[in-house]
Amino acid sequence: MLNRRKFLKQLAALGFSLGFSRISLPLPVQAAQGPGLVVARGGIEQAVRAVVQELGGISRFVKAGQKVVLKPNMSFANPPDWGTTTHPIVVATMARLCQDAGAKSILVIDHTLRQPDLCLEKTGIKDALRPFEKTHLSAINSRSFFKEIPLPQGKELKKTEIARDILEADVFINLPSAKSHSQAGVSLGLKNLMGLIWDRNFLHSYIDLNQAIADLASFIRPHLTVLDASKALLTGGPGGPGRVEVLNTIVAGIDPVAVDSYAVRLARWYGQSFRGSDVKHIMAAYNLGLGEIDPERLQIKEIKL
Amino acid sequence: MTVKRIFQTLTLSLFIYLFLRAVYPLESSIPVDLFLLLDPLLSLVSTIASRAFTPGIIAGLFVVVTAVVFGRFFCAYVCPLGTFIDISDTTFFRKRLQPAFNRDKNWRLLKFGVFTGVTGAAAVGVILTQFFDPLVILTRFFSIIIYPVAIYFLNGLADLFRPFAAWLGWVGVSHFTYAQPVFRMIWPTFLIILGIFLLGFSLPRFWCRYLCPLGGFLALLARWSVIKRKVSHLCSGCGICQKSCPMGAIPVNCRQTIPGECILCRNCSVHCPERAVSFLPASKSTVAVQKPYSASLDSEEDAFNHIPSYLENKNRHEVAVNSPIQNPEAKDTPPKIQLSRRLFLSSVAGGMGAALLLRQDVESKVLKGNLIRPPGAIPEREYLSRCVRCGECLKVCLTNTLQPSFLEAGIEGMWTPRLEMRLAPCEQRCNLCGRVCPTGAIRPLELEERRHARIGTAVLRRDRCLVWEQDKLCLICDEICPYDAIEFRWVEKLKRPFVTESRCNGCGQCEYKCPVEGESAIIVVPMAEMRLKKGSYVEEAKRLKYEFREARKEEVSDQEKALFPSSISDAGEKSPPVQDSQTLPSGFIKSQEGK
Repeated sequence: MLNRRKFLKQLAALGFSLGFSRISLPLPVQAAQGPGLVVARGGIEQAVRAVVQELGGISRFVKAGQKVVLKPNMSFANPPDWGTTTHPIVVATMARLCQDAGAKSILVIDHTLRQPDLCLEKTGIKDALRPFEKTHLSAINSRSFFKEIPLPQGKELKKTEIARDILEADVFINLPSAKSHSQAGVSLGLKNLMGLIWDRNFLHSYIDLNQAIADLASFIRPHLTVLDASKALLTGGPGGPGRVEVLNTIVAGIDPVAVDSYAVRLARWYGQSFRGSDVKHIMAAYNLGLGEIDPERLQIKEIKL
Repeated sequence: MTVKRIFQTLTLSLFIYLFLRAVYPLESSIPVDLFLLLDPLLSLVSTIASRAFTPGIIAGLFVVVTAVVFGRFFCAYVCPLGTFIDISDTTFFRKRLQPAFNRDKNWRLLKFGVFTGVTGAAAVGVILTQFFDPLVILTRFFSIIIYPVAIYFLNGLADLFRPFAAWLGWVGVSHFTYAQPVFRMIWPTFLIILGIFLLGFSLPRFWCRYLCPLGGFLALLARWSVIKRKVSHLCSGCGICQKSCPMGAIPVNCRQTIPGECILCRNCSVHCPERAVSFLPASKSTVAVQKPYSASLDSEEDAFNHIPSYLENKNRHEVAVNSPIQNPEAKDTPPKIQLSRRLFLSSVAGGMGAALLLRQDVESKVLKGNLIRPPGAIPEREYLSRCVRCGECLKVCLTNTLQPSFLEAGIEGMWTPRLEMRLAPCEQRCNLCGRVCPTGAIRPLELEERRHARIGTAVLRRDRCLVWEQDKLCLICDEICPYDAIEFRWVEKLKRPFVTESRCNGCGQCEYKCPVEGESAIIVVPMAEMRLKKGSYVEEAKRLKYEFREARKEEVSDQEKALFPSSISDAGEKSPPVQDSQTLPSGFIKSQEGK
């Protein structure tokens, strides 16, 4: 016999499992307490730790024995001061936090644009992750690492081959960097997801890239986005060389659209200031119901370290 | 396990180990091209042909000195091709009897002819080692054929094992993958080495006896060696040594050795039933006293029982006729294999003639297609005279863009490395090819120098470009260009790509990534390639006013200062927005305004 308590428990369990599932569904409801977006300025490691702490601590996202996937941007073989890749300290700090939370395994992956050995080395990420035993660094540059998945919510992109590691992960944390992009305008958290598909070319030249980014984001939903704005690449993105501005900022949140939208306001891309709603792919993601385009609607916590 | 086998195992293992270590990041304390550096023929030919000492000439000289002092031991103990031939011979070919020595005298002279011919060609500036040098042939075989096939199988196994590894939680293993290399010139490379192995149908070490120019070189040097084969008075004249010698260096009188043909492998010594053979410094004289020939049929049978297994004695009568047992009149001095003046002159002339013919090739004069050479390659004429076509750079190339030429630079240029941009780009942060080149045809450059070593210029084929021809939106070349050399400008309602030649390095990332099917819409041509025999590429680039950019942080032009406030901002509205929105990417909604 179904009583109210049982019903609520089952509903909670369903909500919980759906929130962490990989099947495309509307965004899980925002936590009632705590900020939706956290912005920290200061030393990189402290900033990363501070934002995660403010969002409820790593244990909110990673439980003991879980398989975690971290997706930084390491697609280019450039040192971190070029502003084209995620800073190794961000990756290492997140790996450390996940390890402390008791993760069973931590996989750091990216389908790099340039030669993988060079990318892992020159970005400094390979060295930064060396001391972590449970952490595995892998440039998934072989087709056998991908599986074709239909994207039911996709308007332009109906199916694509997605990294198997994402499909099999318990937790997915997105670690984008903040940069301009010669086609998409900006490359932040949503654009960073492109490193998890096999055929990037198709999105760039045969269909509307902006809609495709949003379509992809409708399926790949990170549990947490920690955006590395320690440096912002203002021009010449995504691969550089270009003008790099030191911002020493980390932006984190559960809502990927809100994180991106906030980050757009952090720098003057190509010498101009923009809002999230000025960027086509962020608008497209908002229109698909993937998050909040106006960061003011969320509770924003700013920390200065 | 004989001494020979132990040494051969060691040197072959070293060869394979060094080959495997020829890979990014190339941190090997022993140079990975060690065997090629030691090869004195390569040092000699490359030095003569390019009129300059190759960097590895010391190693080559060292081997020359050891050959003069110790004889032709290189062939038995060091040469990996020799080891492979031995393995192939003993595994696949049951040997027939060694022919009586005097029959193959002219054949033996052939290798001297090849040696002097190759040297003669070098005197005219043409390299012929790609057809004749054993280490080049073997290294190329490894690079072009064995390496890709091995990777293919490795990846296949990894793919099979992946689900199990994932289930076991072996994350590293489940993510194991190796980039699959692929090369041209497979059949010519394969057929040459197959031919060498198939010569085993005729005789063991056929190549070493009759064809190898390096063997010929070492044979000439071995005349004065300190270590020689010595047969003591214990010799019964059974002739087993003669049958067991893989080089056929023991003539009719088995107490003698043909100088220059013995490779000191000690097979004879191992198989001698009387233990009469030793390899000693020449100072120890052992007088060979002939035992009286009282051999009965029994001892002859015994002699045959000692024959090593790979020699199958089909023609026992021939043995009997030629052995000292039956032929006491066998001469005392071994027959001479000498490089006569006539042979020397005719082979040098032949080599020079062949070289001059090759040089006339039209292709090498008229550059067909887009022949792009590796960064740090010396000027083309010297390049062709330096590169020994060993294939080491092919193996080490990080992206697999380096490919052996077929006829793009003429027959003379066969197997010389060139870049195939559509297959893979040339990574700007990699300098491996120059570091492994044994002759310096590709100069070893530090990363900063290498980054300024321009190899060509990208040229847009507007008739193929999606933007120019079809008015579509595509910015991939701009996106991937590591030198920021592609610029988009408004032309007829659309932003279209232009190449800024002063910034382009010719790396080929654009040609590689261009999404157009078939030939790329942007190709790299040799225009403005920098090929310096010596000197700094950074200086040269500065002189030519090339701008190979790094990420800009500190240096900002006045024009840009107006655009970008120098303070670290919170994206404040301090500066007025730029009026001209022409340069903005299409990903911004604002950019729809304006032209």
